[in-house]
Amino acid sequence: MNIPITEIALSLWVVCAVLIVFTKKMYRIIITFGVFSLIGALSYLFLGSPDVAMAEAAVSAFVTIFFIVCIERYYKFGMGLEDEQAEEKVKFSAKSVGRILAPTGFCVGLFWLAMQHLPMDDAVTVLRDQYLARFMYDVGGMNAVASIVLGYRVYDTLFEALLLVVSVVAVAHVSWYDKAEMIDRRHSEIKNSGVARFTMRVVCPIIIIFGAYIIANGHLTAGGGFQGGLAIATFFICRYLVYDINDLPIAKVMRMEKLVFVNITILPVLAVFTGVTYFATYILPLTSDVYLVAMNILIGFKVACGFFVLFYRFVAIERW
Amino acid sequence: MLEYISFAIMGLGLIFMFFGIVGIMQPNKDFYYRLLVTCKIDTVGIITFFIGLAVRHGISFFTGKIVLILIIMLILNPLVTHMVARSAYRGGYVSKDELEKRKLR
Repeated sequence: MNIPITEIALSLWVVCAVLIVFTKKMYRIIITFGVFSLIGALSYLFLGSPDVAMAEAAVSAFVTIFFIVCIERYYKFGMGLEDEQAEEKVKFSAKSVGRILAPTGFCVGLFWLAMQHLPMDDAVTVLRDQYLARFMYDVGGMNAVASIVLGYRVYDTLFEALLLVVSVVAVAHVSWYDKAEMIDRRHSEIKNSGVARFTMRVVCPIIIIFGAYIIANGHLTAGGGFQGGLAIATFFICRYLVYDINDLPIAKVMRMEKLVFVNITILPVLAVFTGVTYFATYILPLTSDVYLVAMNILIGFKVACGFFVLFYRFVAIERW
Repeated sequence: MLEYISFAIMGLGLIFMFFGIVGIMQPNKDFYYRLLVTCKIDTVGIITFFIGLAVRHGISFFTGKIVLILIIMLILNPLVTHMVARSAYRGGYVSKDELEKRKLR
């Protein structure tokens, strides 16, 4: 028996896309969007890329929750959508439950059919061998992971950075209050312990040096922009936790993070997609290293800004 | 010979970690008890294990890195336990024995 599963999934994908466009109610759009992402993940699986399917499923789960939270938020503060809220009363009738359950059950059945058709051989490692054999010539650097992340798989890195930007924007939006930013230097009532204060004074320079080293040396040894940026963000978090100061302009940091993300998208477009690194490595071995270091520094800066903003928004929720 | 000594020290570290995990799994114990036992894993177990690793590798660059990590662990891990216990105490968490004593008064 030979069922054209890929074609069925792709055609259902189109049907879901049409449904999303022509549905009027918000909650229904979100559910249809989840089904859309699930079918997308399935068709990626059929077309032979399980990693992209995993990423698609994870992103769809995240995005669904994010949309639901945002809509709840809007309803709570009465910022528009009131007419829709008036006519949309969630009723748990058999019809509405069936409307949700039927596509889900269909997708589960499709997934079961797909599992029957998956090849059960050993994993194909041709691509991995190619990467390991050629990464020094193609991208440069000594660290295979860095060259894969910044060279062969720039798209994935871009979307990972985009996900961080989206989550920062979401947290800033959800935790938005009428009161102004936390610029005042009000201290909390609890006094900090002297032990923590003394130890942080000793350790904080080490944390900063460690983060800078990881970022700058990411193309040669283990590490890179994401890890080093996190270490630098830790410094600012420790600074708040121990000294109890919040005199940093959060809105400016957020704007700066978005600008740096624009730079992160521009740099690979100029360097990788035009093929500059691939040709330049043969002539000047330095060029690709310059590209890798620049990307690492930009990503580290962005990650540090992002986690810094996330932490300070949560602090703002706690204070007020 | 050095290798066997290092194995013995690392085994000692593993035993410390084992006791810590047994202590976490104790039923009917309150938060401070568990915290006290958890810091055994963090501090004592890992320090013993790293000393074993340093003995195994002799005097080399690798040992220098291990000693650096060890110093940072020695500074930071007790601080973490201290901060957690302090914030629980400040936040008004009271252990079971303390609660019963207060009731008796």
